[in-house]
Amino acid sequence: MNKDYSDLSGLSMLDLFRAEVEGQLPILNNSLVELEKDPRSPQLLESLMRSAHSLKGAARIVNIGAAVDTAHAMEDCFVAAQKGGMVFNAGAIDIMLRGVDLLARIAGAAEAELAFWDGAGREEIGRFVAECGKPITDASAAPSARPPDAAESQLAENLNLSAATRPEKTQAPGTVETGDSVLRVTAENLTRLLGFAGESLVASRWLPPFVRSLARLKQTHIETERLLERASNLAAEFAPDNRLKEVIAQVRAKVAHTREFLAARLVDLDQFDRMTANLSHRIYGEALSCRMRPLADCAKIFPRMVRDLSRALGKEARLEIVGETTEVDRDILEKLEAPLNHLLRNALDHGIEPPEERRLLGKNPCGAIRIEAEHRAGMLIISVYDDGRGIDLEMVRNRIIARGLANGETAGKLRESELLEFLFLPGFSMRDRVTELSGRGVGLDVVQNLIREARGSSRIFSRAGCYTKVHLTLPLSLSVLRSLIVEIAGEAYAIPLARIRRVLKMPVNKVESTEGRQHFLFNNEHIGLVVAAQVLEIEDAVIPSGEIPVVLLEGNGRCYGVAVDRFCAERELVVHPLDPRLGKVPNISAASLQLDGSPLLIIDVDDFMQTIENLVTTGRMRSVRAGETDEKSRIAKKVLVVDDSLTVRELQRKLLESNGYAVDAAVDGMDGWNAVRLGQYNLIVTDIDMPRMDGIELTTMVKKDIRLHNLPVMVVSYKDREEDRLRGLAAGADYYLTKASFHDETYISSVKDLIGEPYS
Amino acid sequence: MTYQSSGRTHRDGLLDRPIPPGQCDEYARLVAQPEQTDSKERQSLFIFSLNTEWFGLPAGIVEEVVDDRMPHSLPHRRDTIVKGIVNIRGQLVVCVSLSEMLGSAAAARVMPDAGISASRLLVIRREHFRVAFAVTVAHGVEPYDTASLLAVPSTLAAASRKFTRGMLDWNGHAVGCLNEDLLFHALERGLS
Repeated sequence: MNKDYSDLSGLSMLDLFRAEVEGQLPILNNSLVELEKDPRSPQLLESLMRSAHSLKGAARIVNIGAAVDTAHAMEDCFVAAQKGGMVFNAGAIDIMLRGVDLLARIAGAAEAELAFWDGAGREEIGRFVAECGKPITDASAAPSARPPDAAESQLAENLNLSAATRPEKTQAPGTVETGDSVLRVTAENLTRLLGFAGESLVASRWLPPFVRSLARLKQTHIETERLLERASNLAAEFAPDNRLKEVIAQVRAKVAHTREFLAARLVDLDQFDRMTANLSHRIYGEALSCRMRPLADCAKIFPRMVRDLSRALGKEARLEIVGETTEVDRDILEKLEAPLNHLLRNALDHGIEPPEERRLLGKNPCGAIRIEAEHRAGMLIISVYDDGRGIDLEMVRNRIIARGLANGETAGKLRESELLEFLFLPGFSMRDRVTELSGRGVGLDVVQNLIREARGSSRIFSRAGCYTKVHLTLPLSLSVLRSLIVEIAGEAYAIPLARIRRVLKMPVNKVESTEGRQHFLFNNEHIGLVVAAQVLEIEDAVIPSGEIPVVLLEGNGRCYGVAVDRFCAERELVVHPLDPRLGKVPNISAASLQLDGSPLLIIDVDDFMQTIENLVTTGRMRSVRAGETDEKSRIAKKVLVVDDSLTVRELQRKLLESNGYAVDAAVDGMDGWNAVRLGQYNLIVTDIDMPRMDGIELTTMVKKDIRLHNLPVMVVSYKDREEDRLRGLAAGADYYLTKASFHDETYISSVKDLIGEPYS
Repeated sequence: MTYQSSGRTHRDGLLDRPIPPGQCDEYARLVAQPEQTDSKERQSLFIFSLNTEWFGLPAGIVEEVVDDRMPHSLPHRRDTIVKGIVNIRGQLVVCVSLSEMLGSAAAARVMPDAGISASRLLVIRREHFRVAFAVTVAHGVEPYDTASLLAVPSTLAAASRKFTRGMLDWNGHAVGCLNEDLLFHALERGLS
């Protein structure tokens, strides 16, 4: 059997075991949730028994005793149930689900941690195995284990199957039959492939305009022929001698020949163009579909989550997933998990009523929650529905007034859809109580932000007492964007078409000015005009004369006219993320390439609108700038924080920045040493224990350097023994603090002792 | 035996001549000599110039040299180091001004003929970090002996921001060998 494994190059036996566990866990989880509703289902018990059995065999091969015992105990329970020896009640299902979690933890452990499960962790396994035995003995049926040799022979079979193909192939409810072998490809490879496919798609669009330009040549030929015909007539009139006529006839024949030749070539070229366009579309489609995963990939964790939560809340609910084979882009799938999770929690906590209440209302005591997914008109539509208490619009109205978001009169006029929009505002919660699950005031706004990040939108539909439905609309892929390309200050920028309300050319004399703000009348609406280059803070923005190309952008209930230099084209762009090291570039979401290969930037419309709003509310841009330079002329003292823990780094950054210091951070001694040689710092604060170069070494190097030895160094460490302190001071540290000092003023006061106030 | 007979049939018996005395010993001596141990000390340097200054980077980090192209500027950036993004074989790469970073632009202003425009883009890479910058002349790879590195001039040695590890004499030019660790570090910080 080892021979078979060696073919799966690059994977260790342990990796294979992990892959198998990864594949079997959703089957176990989902089948157990199903089993609770139908405890005697022979198919479910069979699938559960097989899963536990394969895992036991796999664990035995990699010699992880803890996993063998866990899987074995579970298998025994399933076998007992199959023989009618026991019936799974909710308590027994809980135990089994704990077993699934145990297996997940064991498989998730790093190689070095595996020893734990053979040692100290063994006790926990022992407890679990004992617990598993209980329901069987309670049912007073002898746990007749399967004959060992039969199990062994089947083990070999199962392992062969699971190693050669995908583990999910064991069919069970809640899994999707793919019916195809699966390759593991790195995400990076896939992204590159998609990039190239996208490039070839973009390049294929270059040919049609080229073909059209050649067609103009054909037209010239026809005109030439006409002229030659006239020349021939004239020749007949003025030169009765046939020689000139003959020459003209020859030229005409040549031109006709050229035209035919060109026409034939054009047909060829046209055919070639169609073929390459078709091919690159297919390649792109195929590459795109490589990135597609069924929704089930992200939804497989939900049935278990809904079950656990509803039990914790004392509610009954049943999750149904419709369209779980719907293909979703990997990137979007990743971004979907958190919002869906959130919506399901909301549905359970706010939506579904407790069973008694439902019974009184004449509803089925078991609530229904449904996730529906489908492709519609080139978009992915996902809705989360629950048949719970719905949203009471009057309550929303009262909340709006109570929170001071609108006065009573305005709130009274709000339509249903407008009222529901308020639920997406940050901090707008319908819950008075903060529960474990939801109602912390971080609710639907989080969902909306996450969905917006994936360039999607969300809407709520509800009827009080009947249902709530949240509708998510998402693009099928994040990698292609239809945009308008414009020129701003001589460079190309793209604006996503989805966010543009209108484009128009506004004659300069139609632009009016009130209180120094420019605006124009459009559809009986005064629309504020801003110059794009000014928003992007590009110097030398020249306001165009004659007709101004204006893009109308809309969002948050406001509309702005954005003046650009020129409209260039409307095009499908392949989105390239910007180098993450640049950080978030304000007002820009990504970059792309034009047909000629030159780069362009894609405008982040939400960000852009926000910047415009800031400009409008804080006054003219120039005055903003003047204020900024005033602030910058005072240079704060700069501290370099060196610590390998992100939490400690950020904590120190917060403490220092709130006291007015400027802060740079480095992740270890080496990074710190590089930074300190490049930057101008007034103080270094360093941890001791760090990878690559520790704090003592860093301190020593700083104190040995001719240029840096005067720079104060403060050591902040968990180590609070006297000898650690002495070691730090011996290396040259000017101060030694323990990390406990963050909690009081010691930290900041020590910094002030060493370098004084932030501004000197 | 066949060898010998064929040799004999050859017109001048060239292959059949006896080995000249002492040649065997000489070759044996050559082969017996220990291998050149300084191979570790020999490294390859990619030499380029910024205006009138010459610099060298380890050849391993230079990914490619392409024709200079106009970068697309990034809005809201006021620093002079990041020039924008350029298209390098279908992928977008950040373009920086190395001369600004090294401070050689300021020095170049003193030189009379500093108006020469950069003609090539050098793309350097470490792991996933790629950066392009314009150079005046991209000379190419030269081997050098680390032992022949000279100390940096005193005007540079005292400066706190120095990227030059040492100087190398090449073709009558003083080439500053840059410390790539520090360079990447500074680039990474300069970008954000």
